[in-house]
Amino acid sequence: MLIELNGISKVYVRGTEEVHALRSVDLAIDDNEYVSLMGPSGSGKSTLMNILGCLDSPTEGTYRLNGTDVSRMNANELAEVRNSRVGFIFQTFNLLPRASALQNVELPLIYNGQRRKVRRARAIQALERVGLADRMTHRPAELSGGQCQRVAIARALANGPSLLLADEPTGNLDSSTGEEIMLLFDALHEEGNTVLLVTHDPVIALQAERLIRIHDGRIASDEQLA
Amino acid sequence: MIFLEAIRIALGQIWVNKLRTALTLLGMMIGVGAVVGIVSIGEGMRQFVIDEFGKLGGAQFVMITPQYMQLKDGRWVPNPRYKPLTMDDLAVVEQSSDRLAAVLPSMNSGANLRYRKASYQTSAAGTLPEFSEVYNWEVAEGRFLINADLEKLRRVCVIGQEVREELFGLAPFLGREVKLNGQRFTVVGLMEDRQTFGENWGDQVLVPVTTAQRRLAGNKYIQAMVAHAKEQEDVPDITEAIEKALKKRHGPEASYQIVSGRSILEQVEQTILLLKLVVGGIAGISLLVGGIGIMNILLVSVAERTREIGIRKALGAKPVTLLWQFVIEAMALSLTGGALGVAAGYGLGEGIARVISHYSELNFPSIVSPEATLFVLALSIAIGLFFGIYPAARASRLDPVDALRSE
Ligand SMILES: Nc1ncnc2c1ncn2[C@@H]1O[C@H](COP(=O)(O)OP(=O)(O)OP(=O)(O)O)[C@@H](O)[C@H]1O
Ligand SMILES: [Mg+2]
Repeated sequence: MLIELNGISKVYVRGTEEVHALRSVDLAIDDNEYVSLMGPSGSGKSTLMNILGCLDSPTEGTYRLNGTDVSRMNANELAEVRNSRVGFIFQTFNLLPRASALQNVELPLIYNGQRRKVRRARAIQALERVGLADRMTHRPAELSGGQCQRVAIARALANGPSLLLADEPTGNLDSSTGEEIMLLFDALHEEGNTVLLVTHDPVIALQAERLIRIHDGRIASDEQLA
Repeated sequence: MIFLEAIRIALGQIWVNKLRTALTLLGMMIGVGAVVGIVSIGEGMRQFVIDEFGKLGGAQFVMITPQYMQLKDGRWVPNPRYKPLTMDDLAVVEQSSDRLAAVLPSMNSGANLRYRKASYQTSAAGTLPEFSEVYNWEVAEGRFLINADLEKLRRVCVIGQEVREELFGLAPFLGREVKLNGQRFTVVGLMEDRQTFGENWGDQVLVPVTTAQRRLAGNKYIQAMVAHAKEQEDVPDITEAIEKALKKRHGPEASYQIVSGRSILEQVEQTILLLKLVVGGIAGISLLVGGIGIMNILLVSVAERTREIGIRKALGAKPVTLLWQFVIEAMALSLTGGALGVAAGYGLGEGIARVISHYSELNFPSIVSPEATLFVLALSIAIGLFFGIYPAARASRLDPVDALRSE
């Protein structure tokens, strides 16, 4: 099992008010699965993705990634997991605006302590993989939304993670650009990557092999697609 | 690797926010500049005093004068116990230590000089042939006083450049007779042009001390003695030996004021050190102000770049990595400020030295020692470290999800 969640809860406390973003979620995802996650706004999708991506920690429950208990890790160990075992793709791309595409893709390699030559080569390779070999020196402002998301995907791929997490990766893109990005995810899955993506678009959700619906912090349905 | 990256990011930040950086660094620059400027002026002053002392025969002289005392009405009068000094005393002092290079008498009397229609008012100094060597002051033309002049009480004189100009103009002067207080003296030499502490030596008239006693003063006294040690380290011992020898000769009550050039120099050095510490300390406070400016700008920077910090955290930057990134940024800032300050301080010191030199005609240097420069730069880095830690710790502790959500 790549991912094993047991009784994961997340409670946000705001003054006297408690928000239960996740309520005792159990979930298992295997290597090389292609999963889409749907649910109404505020249902806890992003909260779940952040916990899976080790950006956030659960209030309760255990999270095993590749067999290791992530919920017991300290800040440095979590940073290492984020760096090399998970590739996170955001709706808003989250690229550094002043850095070139190549420099953005190099970031996780820098934090992985790679030497200059190695990281250059790997970053170029990742950018070639997403079809941006001719845009490496461009800054995010000089790229289209679709191209920015490709740079973000290349960055997520840079350290060869075992899991790709994408929170509404097409949410900021028009439908045709969104389709191109989805083709890229399909291809990455074909190549053996485990992909988990959040979407509001049923058409996109149906491209995956498994569809999980989440409602009010609970898993409402979990079905294998044809 | 990550360090190089941090330095690169820091320099990039400084460059992107040029104006903001410049304004922040102004405080730092003024602080460092003031410290460096003042220290360099102080150092220049010290060097100047040492150099000028060197022209006076160095700090190895010991001056023996009658002890003066202050009366209730404020007047300074010779101590009644004081016994006038004579050339015999000088011989005694000469014998008191084998580490003395020379002992010169000090024997000045007002002198009215006349040559044809020209006249010049100055003072004539009775001295010995060693004078020229001790003060490292050479004759330009003719000769200096010789032993025969003293033995035979010759009425000869050696004159300074200004005396010559006033009396002779461009006319020949060697071998000419001038009237010194109505008595005929023959000019045998002309001294080189010279200045110390901005004072011209050109008004000097040097005569054999024996002649001065007999012809000018009419007694056998000298006013003071200046003993010159071979080495500066010997000055304290020599001072003691001289005092002992004089007491032995004149009795234990005899009192003389014995001042060494070394003690004067030490006093001057102490005064300058105090100046450096006090003014430098005040300027140092502005360094603190500069440091607070750096802390402020870093807090602003951390707030502005919260999202960037979130992105870096999401990509695997460890807390300690981010801590270093911001500390290095603070140190790069403060080091830049410090370096600019050193340059400004150097300019300030040089400027002040030039102004002093220009208006006083003293050759006044401004000196920035490499040690002082390194110290100030190290201090700048330390200030960056100190004031950068808090903002950096704030950045490193940000929660990634919160940071990513910020705009
Ligand atoms: N930092 C927080 N503090 C307090 N409440 C929060 C915080 N983050 C999320 N929540 C709450 O948790 C619940 C789940 O939020 P989450 O972002 O996971 O929803 P989502 O399913 O991703 O919604 P959307 O489709 O709009 O992105 C929401 O009610 C939200 O208000
Ligand atoms: Mg969301």
